[in-house]
Amino acid sequence: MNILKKDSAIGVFLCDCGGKISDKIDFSQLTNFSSELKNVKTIVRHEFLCGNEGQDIIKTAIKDGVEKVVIGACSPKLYEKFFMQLIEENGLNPYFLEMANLREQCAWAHDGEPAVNEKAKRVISAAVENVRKAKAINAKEFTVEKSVLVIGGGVAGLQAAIDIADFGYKVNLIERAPVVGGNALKIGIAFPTDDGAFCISSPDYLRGIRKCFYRAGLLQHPNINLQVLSQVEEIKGSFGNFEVKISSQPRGVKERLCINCSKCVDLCPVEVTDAMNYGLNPRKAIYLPHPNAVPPAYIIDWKNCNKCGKCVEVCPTKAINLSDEKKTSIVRVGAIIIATGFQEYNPSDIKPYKYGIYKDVITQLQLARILDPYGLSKGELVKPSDGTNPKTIVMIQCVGSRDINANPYCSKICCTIALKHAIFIKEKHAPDAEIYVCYMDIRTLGKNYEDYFSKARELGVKFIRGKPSEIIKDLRTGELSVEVEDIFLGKTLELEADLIVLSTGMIPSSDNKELAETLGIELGENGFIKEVYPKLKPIETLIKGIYVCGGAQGPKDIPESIIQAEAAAFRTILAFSKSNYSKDMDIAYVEENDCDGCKLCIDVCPYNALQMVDVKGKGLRSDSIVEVDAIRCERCGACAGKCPTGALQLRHHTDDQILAQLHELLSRETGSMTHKVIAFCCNECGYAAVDMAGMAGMTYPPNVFTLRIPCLGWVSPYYLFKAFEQGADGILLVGCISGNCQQVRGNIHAEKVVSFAKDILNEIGLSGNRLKMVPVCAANPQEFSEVAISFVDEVRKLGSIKSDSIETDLKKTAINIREGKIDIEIDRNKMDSSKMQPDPTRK
Amino acid sequence: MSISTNITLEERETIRSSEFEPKFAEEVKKHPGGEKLSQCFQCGACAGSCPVGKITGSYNPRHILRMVMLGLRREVLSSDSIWLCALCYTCQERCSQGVEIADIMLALRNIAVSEGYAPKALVEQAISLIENGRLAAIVGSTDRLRSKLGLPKISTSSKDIIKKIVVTTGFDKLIEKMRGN
Repeated sequence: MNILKKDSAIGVFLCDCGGKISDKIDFSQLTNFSSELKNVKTIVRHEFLCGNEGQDIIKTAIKDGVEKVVIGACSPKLYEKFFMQLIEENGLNPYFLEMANLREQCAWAHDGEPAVNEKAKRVISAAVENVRKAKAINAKEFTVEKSVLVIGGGVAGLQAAIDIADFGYKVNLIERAPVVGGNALKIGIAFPTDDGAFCISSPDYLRGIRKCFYRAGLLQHPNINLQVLSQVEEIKGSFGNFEVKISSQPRGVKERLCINCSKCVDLCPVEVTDAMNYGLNPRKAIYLPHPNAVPPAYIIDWKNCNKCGKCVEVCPTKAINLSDEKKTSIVRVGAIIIATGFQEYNPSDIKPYKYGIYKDVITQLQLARILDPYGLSKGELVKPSDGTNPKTIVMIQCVGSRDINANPYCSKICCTIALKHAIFIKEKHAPDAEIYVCYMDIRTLGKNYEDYFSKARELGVKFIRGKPSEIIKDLRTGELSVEVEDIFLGKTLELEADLIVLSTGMIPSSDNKELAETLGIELGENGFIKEVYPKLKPIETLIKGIYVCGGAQGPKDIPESIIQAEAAAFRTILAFSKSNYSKDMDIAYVEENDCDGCKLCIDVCPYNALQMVDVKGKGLRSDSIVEVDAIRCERCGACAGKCPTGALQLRHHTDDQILAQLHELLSRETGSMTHKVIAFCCNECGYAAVDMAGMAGMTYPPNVFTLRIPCLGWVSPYYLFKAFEQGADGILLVGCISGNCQQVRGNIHAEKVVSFAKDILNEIGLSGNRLKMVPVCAANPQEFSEVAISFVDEVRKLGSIKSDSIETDLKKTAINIREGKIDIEIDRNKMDSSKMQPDPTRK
Repeated sequence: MSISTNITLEERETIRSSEFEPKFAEEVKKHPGGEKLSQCFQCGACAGSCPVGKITGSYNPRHILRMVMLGLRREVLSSDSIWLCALCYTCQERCSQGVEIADIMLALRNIAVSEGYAPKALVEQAISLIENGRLAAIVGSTDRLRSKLGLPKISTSSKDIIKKIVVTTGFDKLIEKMRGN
């Protein structure tokens, strides 16, 4: 720990805000009070500190020896950054600035209350103490490796790779399959343009709007390094310097040598069913995955190859190597884009529909393979069972979708896929076929997609509202029929069908889970990659420098995947825009000798920023201690909140600074205010809601003091008991609404801390009702003011905590928490309820 | 070929929303199995699966759920259709939204009976159960036929036990109320 050589001279600057503050608060009283505070050397009052003249006053004061600055003015949310820059430009460390919120949270919040003057004094003295204890914090520069790893070569991955490569950064594009394209290779014709799904934007060096994969120049692009049959095995590092281990499965054919002459295929004696076409047609053990394959090379099906060697002999370019082996490689990249796509839900679990039992019950993707000229029947509409042309086709929507037993969500593209296929069949394949679409709701979510619905109706496709109950087979004739209640008719229908097509939804790629674990990112409840915030950060993951786009993030169509891919590319380019990455080091740090290696912090960090390091032989308390990744840390302080020993601290929110502020705000020795309530406000929605309450004139009692903290997750029970000990009679924890914590799970941790602390309060004879969490959003500031009013009432009823013995208990509790003697995860049932006493009878 | 000269018109009734009892759904949701009632989005999987519905148009579970959700309380409780469910639970098994349809039918029957609604035939059976300990009374011819076939007499030993259950649960009072109806 740094020891201050001498106490720095503090300047206090009070802003009238054109009377907005000074009309409500007695500034002469406040000036006198401030001048007596420790280390305060200068006090200046000005009408508008944010104006040029005000800034000059601060500059001059710094020249005249002010080393640390307190500004009593508006909310720090408005001008904190501005004043930080101002003092930095004038030679002070920017963290030597503290703003006392005299406007939104004093003058405007307690209009007409005489006690506002006392609150203002305490707010100023807390700011002075905070800045007095503040230590300099500097920015650190990190080098950034300006290359990218794109995981997944489907439509989204290709788009992101092309954009970044065109911009000029190197892209390592890896794809699990032997070809790029993902699901687009299977779809054939795609909406909304009714042309090939397997095309992508032209890279800059090719002309045109779009290119099919084979001519998109992916292998020729100077900035793209495509590796197929490859997956991420391991990852280390953080933004700017990821080290990724990639494993590549053997192909058995050298990509660059293969000329697609098909001599090997002709000679290969092994015939198997083709997974690409869902086993609908046969292929050889050496094969070309798709005519539009990139890279355009054959591949050996190792499971079925009998290594007869005929292909090796016949290959004119000597491209085939039957002893090819798995390879691993390591790439260093600055950022990672996840584009692992989706897969079609397998409806075998929906038992009444008998998928997998009756051959003529297929999925929409299988129908796409049948209608595709590259498929089994070369584009002729046939029944898989006997190859004849179906006359009646029934499509069933929402199979396994909007179903709490399968996928509760709507995949939003299946309706349009069904409509598209119904139209193609009616227009091109079998105009006389009867097509029924059984649906619950037709959702055509996309620009002009409703046209598909209208066109299908025009072509005579019949829409039946009702979810079919069962698919039945007539055992004598072998005919299939779909049983469905026509809701509009109120009657049950049996639709006799030659072909039944199940519209199943999109589910996450099967290796998402493993990938998420490898990368240290999170999956959402349905298994898609979790974004930081669905409304505003849809393509960012919790780890800086790792982005997600396309089907990997959630169900979407091609246009939306492209938009996300371009957004991910832009985010990457933006992150690379400066030569180095500079970050203020107001992050978590570890007091090495206090860490006992318990690892409790590791799991609470949502950013995977903590890891254990071996420190054997260094003479520390533990042989392994935690280490903070300076780039990954997002300064939420959840680790500090969880740390049982106080070893983990958040810079600028250290024990030292917090306790000093609590003392100034709450101490019973000074001032006449009673029943003081401290409101720990998270730096995001919590503090903003309190500001907004002031701005909107929603008043609350002046004995409510706010303390701006990074996140509710940062609140250690230690601070709660310290606050009570220092003089609080009640504590509010004001933060983001449940599920929307800006630091992911801070309010969930806080809920645990609150219930734990309530139990202890009850046990030592204080009411647990002295502690309350207030979830707020700046859109509902009245929730804060209403709760504050009723809470202060309740605290008044409970009375002031005055007893010395309780204070001793509070002090002991706080010490026990810091010494790790009390476990927050304590079994609450085991607590001794006999000790619980009603509050405040204890004397 | 003859054409009828009289066209018969079915009377059609418009229901005004003021006739709804909107709290009805909440009332049903408080019964075990009723909790997820509001999740019903009328897909019809229940009605399509229903074996009773295959035989008669008088029973449609989707229709009943619709009426409950709209609050057509009296119409639902006084109808015979809630008594037609065979409790095979196929609908419940197939409901994609987890609505416990068969259990809701049971809940509706309980509410109906508590308000004095039940089909006459069921009330008759209940009376027989209370009085004889059996759903159907034993008549002289039954015993004669049984002795002819060499079967023992039907035991009436369960009568007292059933009586006890009927009294303890208040079933007798419930039925008594409906006797006059």
